[in-house]
Amino acid sequence: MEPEILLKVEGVSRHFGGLAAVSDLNFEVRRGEILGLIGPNGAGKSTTFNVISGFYKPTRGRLHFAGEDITGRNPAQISRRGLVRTFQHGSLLREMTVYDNILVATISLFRARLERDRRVMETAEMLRLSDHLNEIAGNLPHGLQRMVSIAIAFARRSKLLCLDEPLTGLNQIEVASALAIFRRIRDEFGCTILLVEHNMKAVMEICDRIVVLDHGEFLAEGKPSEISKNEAVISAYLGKRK
Amino acid sequence: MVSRSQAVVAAAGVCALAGSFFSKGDFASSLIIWVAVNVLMTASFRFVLLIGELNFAMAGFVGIGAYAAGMATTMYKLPFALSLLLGAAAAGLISLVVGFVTLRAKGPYFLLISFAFTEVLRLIYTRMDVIGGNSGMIGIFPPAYLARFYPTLVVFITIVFLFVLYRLERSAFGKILVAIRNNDELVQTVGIDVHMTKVWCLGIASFVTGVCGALLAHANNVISPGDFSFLVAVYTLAYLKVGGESHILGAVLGAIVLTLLAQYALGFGAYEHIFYGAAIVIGVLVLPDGLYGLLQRMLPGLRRPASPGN
Repeated sequence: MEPEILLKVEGVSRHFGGLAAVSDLNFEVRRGEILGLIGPNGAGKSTTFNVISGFYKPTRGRLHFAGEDITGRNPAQISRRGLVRTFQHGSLLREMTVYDNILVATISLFRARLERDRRVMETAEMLRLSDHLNEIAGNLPHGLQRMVSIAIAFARRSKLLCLDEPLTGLNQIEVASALAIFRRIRDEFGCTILLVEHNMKAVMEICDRIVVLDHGEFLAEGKPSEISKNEAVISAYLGKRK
Repeated sequence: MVSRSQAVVAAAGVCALAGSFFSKGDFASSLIIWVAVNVLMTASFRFVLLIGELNFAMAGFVGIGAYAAGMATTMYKLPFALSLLLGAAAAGLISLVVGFVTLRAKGPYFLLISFAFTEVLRLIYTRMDVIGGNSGMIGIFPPAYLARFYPTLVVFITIVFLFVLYRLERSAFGKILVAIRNNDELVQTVGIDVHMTKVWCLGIASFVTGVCGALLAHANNVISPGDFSFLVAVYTLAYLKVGGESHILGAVLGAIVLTLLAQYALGFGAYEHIFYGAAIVIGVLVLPDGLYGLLQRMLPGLRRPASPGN
């Protein structure tokens, strides 16, 4: 029986000089859920992502992923253990074709070219990129570039997908289609998703649970319906009621 | 399946081999060797450019290859093939260590470090009396039975290594190198050790560079520290800019054309370097993708249709 808790963030702090970008953060990601990580600008969401994915070492605290302590591992090692992230600003290979973008993600997974090819095709199909495989990623419209970023992460069929503002700049139709894809990724492939996103409507719609940060600290946690009524969260976003 | 462009390239290779075989006279032979070695140096310089780094340390590794092979031939009287291998191995191995330490830096920082490496190495040669100090090392000859075929051998080795570099670039490894140039953080998130990949890239390129140095040493018979200053890398950059960076054939074209043209620049005396500076500027301004880009526009057949899994 695999543990119910996939990622455990335990008392994690990250300081930059005197600035505590994240301090004493505790939360868990449960297997198979879509967890939203929200908070006003500067709340420490991106820092949290960077610590989880190994780009920053935590100043204090520990990270446990799939029953293993991954504190201090580098990004490649963490990725190979099944935790993949995307970046807020275009995580794609601009000069390369969509096919090669996805292919690069599969290289460390398979040795055989045939297996890599099959995985690329399946992934492109899922992200509705099949018609664009030969196009240079940097020339695609913004919405499709976002899908390429997600395709790169999803191509690895990782246990945990950490998506950093994947919906930014998408129109309503594209958002709806992206959310449907996220659900399929979770339901059909059993991937757990950790989502940082500013589009509140989308977050409320798709997330099973939400963790709220403010000023680098844990503020609240709960179901979307609880969070939207939470006094502390409302005042963090809108300022205190007079 | 052999495409028409591949057939043309193969034919050109055969012609080069035949031409070098039947070439008469010292100057023609020397010129063929310089062209071939410059072609290979440019290709190896371009190989490191795949990860986005301008590798000025290349000039230093040419020197290591030349001195190692020169020592093997003159001091230890080793067979020619072994000298060649030792030159290449010395450059390759040292570059792995150098790369491991320096490739955490990138862009202008790596450029400066690699530049400094080349110059420091040159100064070290001048202080080492074992290898001739300032006046250099003399008497590096290929074996007598090879002398007649030496230009042909150099062209052959160049073609072999060009092919190896080309295959590597087209492989999954090569895709990773280009991906690193595009976005190295992203490549880390798909489970690839970016740092070690860069180190291996430099190692492979430097092995080839070491071969160049060894071949050059045996062609010129004399080497001295001044032959391996950072200017070698500047010339190579000029070859690449004029030839075009997007394809390995660009490196080949640029090196051939500029090396031949430069024979006229020799007459400029001290102004010779202006020739290379002008070549870079004109190349960048007039030929955005170099001679290869120009050729591509003139012969649409060269344009490779991108196909998945290719």
